Amino acid sequence: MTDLLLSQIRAGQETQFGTDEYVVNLGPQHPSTHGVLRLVVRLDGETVKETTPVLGYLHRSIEKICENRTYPQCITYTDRVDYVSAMSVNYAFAQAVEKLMGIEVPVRAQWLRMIMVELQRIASHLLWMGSFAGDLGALTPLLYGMRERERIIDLFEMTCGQRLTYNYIRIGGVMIDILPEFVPKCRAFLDYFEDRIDEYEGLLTYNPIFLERTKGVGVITPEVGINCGVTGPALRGSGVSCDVRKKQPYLFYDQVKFEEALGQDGDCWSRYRVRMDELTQSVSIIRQCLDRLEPGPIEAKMPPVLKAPAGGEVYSRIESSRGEMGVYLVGDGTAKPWKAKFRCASFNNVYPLDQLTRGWKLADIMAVLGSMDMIVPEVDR
Amino acid sequence: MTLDELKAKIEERFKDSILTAVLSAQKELIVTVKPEAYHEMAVSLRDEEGLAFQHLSCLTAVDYPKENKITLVDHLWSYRHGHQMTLKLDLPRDNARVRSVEDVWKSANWLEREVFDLYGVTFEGHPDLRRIMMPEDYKKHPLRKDFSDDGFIVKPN
Repeated sequence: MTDLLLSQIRAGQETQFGTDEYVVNLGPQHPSTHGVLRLVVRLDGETVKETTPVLGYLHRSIEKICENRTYPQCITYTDRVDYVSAMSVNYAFAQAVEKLMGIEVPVRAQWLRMIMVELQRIASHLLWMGSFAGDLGALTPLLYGMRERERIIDLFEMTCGQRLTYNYIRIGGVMIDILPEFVPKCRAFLDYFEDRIDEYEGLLTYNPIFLERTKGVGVITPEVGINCGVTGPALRGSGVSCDVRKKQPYLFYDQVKFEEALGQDGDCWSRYRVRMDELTQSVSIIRQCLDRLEPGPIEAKMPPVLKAPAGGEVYSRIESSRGEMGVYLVGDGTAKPWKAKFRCASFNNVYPLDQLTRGWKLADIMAVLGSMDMIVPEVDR
Repeated sequence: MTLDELKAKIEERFKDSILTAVLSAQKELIVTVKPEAYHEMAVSLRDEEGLAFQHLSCLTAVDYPKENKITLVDHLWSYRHGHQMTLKLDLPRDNARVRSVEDVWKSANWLEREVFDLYGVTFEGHPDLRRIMMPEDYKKHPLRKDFSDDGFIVKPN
């Protein structure tokens, strides 16, 4: 009986056993979804027929809360929009308010912000590298990534006292000046870290298992990526130049030298490649910032109560660790925003997941989802 | 292309569809469009060579209960030319309906679902218009200004 069945299956003939599609729930609590994202996956055997992300499990209505807080109060909530890259979101909001109210920020504060945002990018990419490799079954990079991330977090803690939600970049400047020992410690970290990048590459980049799992998997073509609103390293992996730091320079990104990391194939491996290259670029940016840091004020002169002009609105974008982060603000003449909208990269980067995983195996969903560097608080806000 | 040139170009090309085109104090081009011309204009903005707004960066809405309108706001970006513009359209608050642009920019799919969920704007022709953030059986639209729910008290701004 078994022999007959096997021979029928091998010959591709119909057997007397029917096959049904079945539906699997991944999440909301599942290690591979990095938080509380739920994926409803329709499967034929192990082949994915359809992936439907279900959002909202972490919806905290930050946009509604911001409408009922003054502008400086909102900064605290921006930490929670993306807690793995809190400095970027702090800065994105502060930049939008400064544009809306025409606040001139002192030079030293801008350089400090740049140092912090780039350190945050390294920390965020390290955490991503660890969890991405972990999803694919390699647990060592997570420990290595955490080891170096710890030193960055120590630098942040030394500066503002917090380790996850910093609330450091404020409207008009930064919370507090860095300590004198920050600069040597930061330089020491960069020197140490540069060699570590080779170590990660040795672990992962040309590891045969890693290549098997990521090469050619989840290919985003440039047309699909742009149309679906994919941004950041996920789109740069497809070779589209979309770095806001280059396209619409903010802070002093037009005064430092760095290259936009670009991939070619648009698969998971290319996205990995882009992020690893960005580590090197960030190190170089931070070094240039430290060189050009000069004493000076760290906060702009501002009225005691910040009020946005009635009817004024602004949409300002930055390149956060995950991609394009936009903040849309509408003022109504009071101290509170009439409307605050966070355009988060993860939200749009998760959207094409269904398209990217159809026809692939169940395990490839983790590779694709991991390579997009999605973070749930940013998706749900 | 400078913003002034872009403004002149859009005013010339879409003179029947737009209501106003202004350059804001923050150096952003804000174009208000008639709701019935919205979809057609979106296709032209994406496809025409000199405009090429391939990237719908953000789509959201703003509620103005005093004027009895909900304003839909699209932020567009062109990778080719590196210019940005804001597209706006006013919808009546009690019957907010507009043609979906999901077939123009796929990224609008979830963004429109979010606006539908939180503001109660209906997008005609959207393939999958369901709530995205709130539970499926939820009845209200939280980002509307008159929203109130047990335990959430909105203070007047």
